[in-house]
Amino acid sequence: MRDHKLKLKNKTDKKFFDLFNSVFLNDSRKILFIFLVLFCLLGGLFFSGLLVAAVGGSPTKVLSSLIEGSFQTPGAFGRTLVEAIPLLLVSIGVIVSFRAGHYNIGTEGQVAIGALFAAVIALQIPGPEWFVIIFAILGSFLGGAFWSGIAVGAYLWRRVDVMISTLLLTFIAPNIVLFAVSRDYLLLDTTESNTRLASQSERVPEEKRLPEFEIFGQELHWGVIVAVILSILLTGLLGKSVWGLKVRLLGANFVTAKRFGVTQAKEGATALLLSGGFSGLAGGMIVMGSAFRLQSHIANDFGWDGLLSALVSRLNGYFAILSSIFFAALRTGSSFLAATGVSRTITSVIQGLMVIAALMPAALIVVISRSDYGRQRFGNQKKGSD
Amino acid sequence: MENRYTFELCWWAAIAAHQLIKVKVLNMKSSSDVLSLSSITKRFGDILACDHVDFNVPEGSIVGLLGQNGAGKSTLMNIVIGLYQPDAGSVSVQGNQVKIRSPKHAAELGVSMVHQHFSVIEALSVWESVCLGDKSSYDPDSVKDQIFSLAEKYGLGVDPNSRISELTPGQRQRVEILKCLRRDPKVLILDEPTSVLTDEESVKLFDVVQRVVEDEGRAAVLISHKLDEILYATQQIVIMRDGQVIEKIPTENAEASFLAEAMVGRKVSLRSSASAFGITETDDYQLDEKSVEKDNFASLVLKVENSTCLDDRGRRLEGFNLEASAGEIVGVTGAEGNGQALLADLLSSLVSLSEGSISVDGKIVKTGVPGAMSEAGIAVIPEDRHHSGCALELTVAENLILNRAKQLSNWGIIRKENRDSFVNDLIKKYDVKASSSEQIFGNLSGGNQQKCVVARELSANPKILVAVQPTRGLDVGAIEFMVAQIKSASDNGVAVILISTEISEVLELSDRLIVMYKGRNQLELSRKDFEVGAIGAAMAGES
Amino acid sequence: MLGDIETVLESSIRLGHIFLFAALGEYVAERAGTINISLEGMLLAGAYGAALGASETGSPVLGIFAGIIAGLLVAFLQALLSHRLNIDQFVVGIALTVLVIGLTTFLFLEIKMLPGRIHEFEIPLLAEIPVIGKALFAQRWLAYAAFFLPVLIWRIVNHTRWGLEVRSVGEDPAAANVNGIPVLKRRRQSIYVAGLCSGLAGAYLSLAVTGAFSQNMSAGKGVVAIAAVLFGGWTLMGTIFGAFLFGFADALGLSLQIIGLNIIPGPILDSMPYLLALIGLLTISNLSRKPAALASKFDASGDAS
Repeated sequence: MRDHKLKLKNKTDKKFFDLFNSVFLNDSRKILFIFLVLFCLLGGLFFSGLLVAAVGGSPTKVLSSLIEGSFQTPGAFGRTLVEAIPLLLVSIGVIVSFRAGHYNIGTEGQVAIGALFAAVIALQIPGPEWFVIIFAILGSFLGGAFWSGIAVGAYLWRRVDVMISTLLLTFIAPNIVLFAVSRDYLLLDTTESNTRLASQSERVPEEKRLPEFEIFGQELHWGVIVAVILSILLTGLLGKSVWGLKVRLLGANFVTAKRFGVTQAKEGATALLLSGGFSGLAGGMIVMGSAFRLQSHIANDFGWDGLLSALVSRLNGYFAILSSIFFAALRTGSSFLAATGVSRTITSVIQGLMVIAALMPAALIVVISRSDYGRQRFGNQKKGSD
Repeated sequence: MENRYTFELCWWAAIAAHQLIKVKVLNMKSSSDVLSLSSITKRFGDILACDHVDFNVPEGSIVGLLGQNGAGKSTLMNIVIGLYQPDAGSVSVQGNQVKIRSPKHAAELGVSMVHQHFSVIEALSVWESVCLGDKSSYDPDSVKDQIFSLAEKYGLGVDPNSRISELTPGQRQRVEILKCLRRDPKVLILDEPTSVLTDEESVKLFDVVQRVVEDEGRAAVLISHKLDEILYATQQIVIMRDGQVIEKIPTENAEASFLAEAMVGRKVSLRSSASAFGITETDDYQLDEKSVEKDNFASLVLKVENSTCLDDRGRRLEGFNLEASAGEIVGVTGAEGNGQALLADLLSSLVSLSEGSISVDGKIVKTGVPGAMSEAGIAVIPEDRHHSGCALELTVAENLILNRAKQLSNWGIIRKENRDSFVNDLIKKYDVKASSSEQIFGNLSGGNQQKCVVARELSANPKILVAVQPTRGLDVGAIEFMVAQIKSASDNGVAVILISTEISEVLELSDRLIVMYKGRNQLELSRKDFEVGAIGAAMAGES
Repeated sequence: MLGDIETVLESSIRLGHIFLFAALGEYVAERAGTINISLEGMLLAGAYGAALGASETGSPVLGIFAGIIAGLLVAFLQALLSHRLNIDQFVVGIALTVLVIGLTTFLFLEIKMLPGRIHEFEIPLLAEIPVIGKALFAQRWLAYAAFFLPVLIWRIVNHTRWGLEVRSVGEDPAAANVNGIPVLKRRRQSIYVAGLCSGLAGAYLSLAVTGAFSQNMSAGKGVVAIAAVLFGGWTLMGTIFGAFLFGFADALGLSLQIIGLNIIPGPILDSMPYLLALIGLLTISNLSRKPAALASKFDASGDAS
């Protein structure tokens, strides 16, 4: 039994080392890189603190409120995890798309349309509960894929850059949802509970919501498991499968990819549709797992934050789990900021700063390597010799 | 103690005197030299690119700077035009010692370079390209006037208002020269200027340079690896090897085999590494016995039939035909831009035909369908591996398995053991220097990257190997490796299509040769009928 | 009927100016080979800066300057991160835009502002011209920059040395570098132009069009401005046309209301500019003027070879 345990330890060590190697550089600058990462992250937090102080707040109070709100109060950790689900799903989608060489930044819109599809199915389609739930979740995936599919079509047909088309679609999506929830022949809630006839849909009935469970005193729903499984699955596929290699080849060099049978029409489109689908799935999770009601702002920045989370994770699926929790913590923690006198929108500034902080190390290490200090320390970074 | 003091004083006096004399001698020497380099040394990390190089360019002469790739001649010239600073040594222009800080500064001092990869920009017009980089005020009319007068003086006719994209390579080179001449240069440096020109255009170029140089006070440096060019156009030859100046001789005393030996440092067959020297003189060139034996090739493997296509960059093929049998090496040559690159792209599944067909072993292969050519057994060593041969951000292992990922996998997942054993075998077999198979491909040196590309393509046991400009830019050692690979592939029954603008290389290796002109078969010759004159004529479009 | 057309034109042009100013800036930046998604952030920053400046100083002119400076600040960051530190420009663009949205919203909620609106200024006589007179010559005075800016941009890009160098950088940065042109510097400078113009667009938005700042008021106008440049095929005339076409779409809701055609529901109308931009992008087949090196990275470190 002892031997068995030892073997495992070695395997995980090696895995971690491989992960480390795959993310960081293959040479002596690793230590400097880690230092830079920590330095930049702290720098981001520092500037956030400065901003808080500039408007008259107390940075320490803000920090403690955030931690309190996201982890310490009873059930907060669970809420944070639930909040992380859509973020993680969006992040995974972003990673797949970016790795394929396409900048799908219309995730906010895809979340909204996915949520729309889920709401339509949950509210309008009759049937046994388990059927409706599964159908709605699948439908949300399809909805998001449909929305990114428009961009795919525009690219394949007219070479319109995915980045611009998805971005434009992001501004159209909430209007479609608004339209749907403001018409009584569509989704508008016309029951007595909605006296002001606010533009929102009916609530998803309890039996048709994602089942919850309790663990360690935290309330979670099944979406957590789905999200984690999907992210591990997809990250593994990207790294180890034939399909994953094809997708990454497409992103690395689409001409070489074409020589070996990898095309924009197949692998590229698939990656983009998957990407939209995951964001749509996130929307489905929101509707069926936490919000239970459709409004025009249903996406609620989940799409944007998920995108940022993917950037912070440097497009690595395992890190995305961590960064999604971090971004979720900022969201849930912000509800406690009212007492500090600082507006809760500070968290979006912190997010923006942290993204920039995450981008800096890779760039700084290049600058340092090329400076005089860098040349002395690491030698002239010429490529390997013949 | 006093004795010691006197002794030291004398010692220092002697050194001082020696330096003074040296300087005087130098100055005397360089008073008729337009450009003079003395003891130039330059290191890059632990590589000594230039080792105490002395180099003088006398007034009114064209000096040839000869050396292999990596010999240091490019570095030397980059120092002269101000891109690098020497670690030691001095540069003098017209007798005055100078420190050349930048290309701008070099131009001000009268040192001007005509670039190998043109510095003119497609979308701009001729006059815009000519005045690009000027620091003076913006005056299109005066620029155009200058172009007219210079063009007349030196016979470099070109319309200032035409767009660069409309010009032929020869015309673009003229624009390059006009750019230099406008700055009234004292020294003109030409870096491998004829790599994209036909023989005729090359001769014209050297005539112009000779005319320019005959103007008082001017000189030129011709950097080249082509022996016949150096022998034709220069008055003096300087040979560099491994960063040092090996020989300096007047051209009239020079001879091709001597030059080649000096370049490489050992006896070398001008023919087996022909592309290293660009030899095409039939005097030096004898037919191999190989030719006579291999006269009938059994099975036809590749048939490109009556193929026509036009791509969006204006490149074209017009009813092109090509047949290749197992074990045969078919050379495809011609001046650059006559369809060779398009043919290579066609065989890489990157473009499709509008007319005609391609068949392998009698079965038609769909053109333009991604991956189809590779599946059909056509391996390609591309001209620019960064463009279409590899993926820089993936690992070495991943690059090596691009054409066999499915075979190494089980249920869609790549089996690590299979992959690793295959990859490690390949790395060993081709002697690729990489720290591990997980290293990022882009971090390998150019030579090792090329080895990986060759390894991957040959490991697929292809029926046909297309090698496009396979030895361009390589040093003799790497060229020998590549040639050996090509020969062994053909010995193993692979049909080899050798697409190259280096006639010498094509002549040396091919069993049959096709000259392309404007996308057509201009000339087809079997080895026993090879004749340089006819090939040259065909390249220029004459029959 | 004529009066209706007049009104439609007037509101289309009024809103079109926002796109025009921003698009002109991005036009210059894209000729240099850069794509700046942070244009949206520059616009929003300009809107906020102008509102804050005008509110604090009481002077709309100073407010406009403040807006321009705010736009330049964002542009400076984009230029620094993408074209000196070599971080992917799309990622930087997204990050900066999100940062600006967050920051302006945060500051907006913390600091009260009362900027006031720029006065209208009718050009006598010209404003009397039927149909187009009101639209072109009876706007708030900042709008008249629209007569000068395109001409200025045209001169700078096509008739100055700087413009030639910028264009060469966008077509072939390697060749430009060989010619001694500071590639990354020109790219950064072109982004500053974009920041200046977008800051102006933002100032126009908050001070002339609405007279106040509201959360995320740019609402994608910066993105549409980028689309205008693409739609215009990277030509100046095309960009101008695109800008006003999208302005027309933006004003469609108002226009239809005025005419009395209330058939299209609100949310659909709000989507019009984006929808039209998307459709417009589908129609451009003229890619020949696309800067050849658009969005390509340029590595300034010459390796010894």
